[in-house]
Amino acid sequence: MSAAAPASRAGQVWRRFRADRWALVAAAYLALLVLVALFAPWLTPYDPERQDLLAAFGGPSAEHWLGTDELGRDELSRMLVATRISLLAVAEAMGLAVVIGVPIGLLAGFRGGLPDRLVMRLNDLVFAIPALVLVMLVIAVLGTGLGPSMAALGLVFSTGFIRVARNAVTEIRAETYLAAAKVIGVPTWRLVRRHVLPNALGPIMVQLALQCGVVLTIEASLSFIGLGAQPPDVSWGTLLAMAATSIEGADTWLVVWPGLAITVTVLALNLVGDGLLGALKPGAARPAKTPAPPPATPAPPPHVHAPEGEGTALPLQVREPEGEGAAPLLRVRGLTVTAGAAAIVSDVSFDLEAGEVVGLVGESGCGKSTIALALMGLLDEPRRITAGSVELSGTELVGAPEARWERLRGRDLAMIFQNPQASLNPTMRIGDQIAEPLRLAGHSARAARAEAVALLEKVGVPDPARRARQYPHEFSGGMAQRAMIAMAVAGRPKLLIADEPVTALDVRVREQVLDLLLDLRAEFGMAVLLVTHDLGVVADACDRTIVAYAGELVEQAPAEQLFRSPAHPYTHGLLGARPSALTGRRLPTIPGSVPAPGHWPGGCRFEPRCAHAVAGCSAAAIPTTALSGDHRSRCLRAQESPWL
Amino acid sequence: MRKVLLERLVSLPLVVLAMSVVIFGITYLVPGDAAESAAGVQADAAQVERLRQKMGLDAPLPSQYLSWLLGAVRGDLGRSLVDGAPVAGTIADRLPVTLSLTAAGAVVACLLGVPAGVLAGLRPRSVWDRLATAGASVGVAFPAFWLGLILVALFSLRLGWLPATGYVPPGVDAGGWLAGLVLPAVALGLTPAAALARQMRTSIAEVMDSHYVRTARAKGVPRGRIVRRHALRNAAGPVVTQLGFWVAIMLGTSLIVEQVFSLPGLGGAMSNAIMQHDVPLLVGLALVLVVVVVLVNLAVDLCLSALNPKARQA
Repeated sequence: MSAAAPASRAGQVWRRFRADRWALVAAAYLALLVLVALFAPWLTPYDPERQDLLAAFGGPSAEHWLGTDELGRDELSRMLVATRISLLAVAEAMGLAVVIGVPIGLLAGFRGGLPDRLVMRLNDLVFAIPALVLVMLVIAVLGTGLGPSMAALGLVFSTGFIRVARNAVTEIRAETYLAAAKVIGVPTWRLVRRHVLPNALGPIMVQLALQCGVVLTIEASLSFIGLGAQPPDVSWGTLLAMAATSIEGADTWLVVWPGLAITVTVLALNLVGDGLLGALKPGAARPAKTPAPPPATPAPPPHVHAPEGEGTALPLQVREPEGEGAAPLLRVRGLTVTAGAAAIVSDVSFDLEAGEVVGLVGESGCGKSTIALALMGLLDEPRRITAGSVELSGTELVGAPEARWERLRGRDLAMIFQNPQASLNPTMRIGDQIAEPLRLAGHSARAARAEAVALLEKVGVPDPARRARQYPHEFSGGMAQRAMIAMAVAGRPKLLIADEPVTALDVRVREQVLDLLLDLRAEFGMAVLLVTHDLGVVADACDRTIVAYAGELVEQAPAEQLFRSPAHPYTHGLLGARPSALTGRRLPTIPGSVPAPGHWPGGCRFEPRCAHAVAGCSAAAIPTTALSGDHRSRCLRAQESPWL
Repeated sequence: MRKVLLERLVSLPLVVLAMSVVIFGITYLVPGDAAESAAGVQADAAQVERLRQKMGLDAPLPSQYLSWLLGAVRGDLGRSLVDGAPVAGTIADRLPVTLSLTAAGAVVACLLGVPAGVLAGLRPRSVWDRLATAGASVGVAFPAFWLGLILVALFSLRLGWLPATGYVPPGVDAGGWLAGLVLPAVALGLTPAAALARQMRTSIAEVMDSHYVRTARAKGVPRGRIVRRHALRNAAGPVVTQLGFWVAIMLGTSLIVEQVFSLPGLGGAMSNAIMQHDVPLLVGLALVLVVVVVLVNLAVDLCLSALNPKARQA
């Protein structure tokens, strides 16, 4: 933050604060309240002390809007006067707290060392006693009554300001300009005024607003039990104390008004405090909306159930059915996912055979993880499947009720994630987490536990019985990912979706975990969809590869064919961007970046980054071309492949 | 867990000791002369002086503190300057009332705040969430003693459902004890309930958004079981911390609220001690409250380490 722009920063804070409707209303109320307090003596309709015993305990009426008290005094007039006293009391207490607390805090933060530690220890100690009790102790020294009790409050609440001011200083102490200014001998008071105070002002204001509410409540409490304001001084608390003595059989209104005034005022102070806090938070702009698609280039409508074999468009059933017309394990057609107004995945179609390992590759932001989560039915709001079909062993999953998904997950479908440690429940033993899907499938607790240990052993976790009783934080990243894999395969799924399973792991461990996945695939005969940005992983592990770009699939081919003769310039670019293991030299990356959802070009989505684009590329959406039964590309120039 | 406990068992007495110095130091400044008030108005200067020596008031402050401390360790907190009653006895009579009230307030806070927060956090931006959030904003602003007055006016005086005043020890009549605590506990617990609801809402919403809850969903764990087995325990930590913080505040607020319901807790004794400059009673009361707060903090730490296996090691 530059010290030269406090004015514009204040303006920015005010603009953000103003956007918070409730905080603004609250601030207006407080301003009005201050005006009432200032002009109370001229606003009272009656002399607040004029008694009229005949009119005692009169409820609200045309003459006495808020009624009259036990001596027939006008309650409205007394409330107005009490407002003045209450606000004055809070102002006194908070003024004292700021005057004592801020300089001490600034000094402690600025000096550091022993004075700082002393002040902070004392501050810690204050937390060992309720603030109200400490205030009472100080009142015992200073005496009861409005002035002394407010002084006591000010003393006790100065500790909060010490902390806030001190933290504001230590926060910017590390900044070089402060150290430099100190070295060249700029006087300390000037440093404080120019650099420290502007930085501390925000937190102090927030503290002030929030503490005012607390102090107002405590003042009322103290006055209520006779330790604070005492007649003839009336505060809201004193009025409540007097109303309480006549609560039986008397007019309840007298209890309502002062309490209502306190509650509304405290509420307003809290709202202003919260509003300030929000306005001061760096980058606290209103949540960014999902970008709407630009009207000039609307995303092509997903053609969901395109007629088969139309022109060069992807024939939906190009893959030769294996065996006698057997349906593939997983059949995805025209899958489209939107978030708000924008599509983030559009018209995705592919098959997955039982026992097959398929890589789903692309740069980050291409929609790979969204596709993976969609297949698991795990998309979070606002992402939703808006078109297309996902069939698992011939059963449609899109639109299935959550209960059906819950039965499928863990048994037919399983998934492992990129960050194994964050993906494990930190408060549950590893063994219990692995056993959970087995328990859900109906195994006894004992059998599930034994199976969990056996699974840990199978995934190569040494000393599995002991490790099963440990918690995730006791596992290394590689071991945690093995545990995740054990958990995923516990239910013997037909399809395992692995979303960047080795990206977060040490290079050394990557290969081991990858090998483990392949071994388990062979043993259990499950299909694996390996989502990764790393083509090296694909080369090592996959039978077939699918390439995603900007929310759609651009190429599918058997792995070795894709590496040998990529039929899409994006795939070619990805291959080129791969660090060469032989030379260790990183080849040129693809220039530019993946366009964000909602900003996809109308024609080929890769066209703006493509070195081989021709006139037709940007004209219209590019259909998928089948090069051979197993090789498809969404490129106009796939046949000639000029990049090869 | 054992490590946390051991560490605390060493540091807690030190905190209490340091606080006793602070309290003793503050109350030393209380105006009035204990010897003068003990000797009575008729006593002459010589009599007062003799009494002062007898009471040890002529000794320097550190030695006065030491002799007080030696007594305190043995459970002797001195005698009241006003009626000569042992301070420890007065506290022993009144502490159960204050503790009952505070504990009942905490129960109310949890019963109201936790479910409201969970409901709101599980369905962000739903009607429930809006209601709970608005309710929490308003609830935090209520002064407890005023709420007490309103509750008395409504439920005791208008409807006659519950007693307005009085305290029955649980040993005498458990039902009466409970009935007498309902209204004060609600008055005391509402503000903390609002604060807990806020915390619980944030906490559970965050946990439900976590990677490990997504993992649980990927395992096919039904939502209800996810909330019960995975989310609540992980979300509980910040809420327990917040509860401990509020129990300390409630302990102070109970001193006020008890006076609305004429409960014979520490609050009445505190008010009298302040107004009559009864220093030994004041010191004893403040100290016992510090001990309670320190024990509450210990309980919070133990809860946190029981909830979170990682905290057990640290």
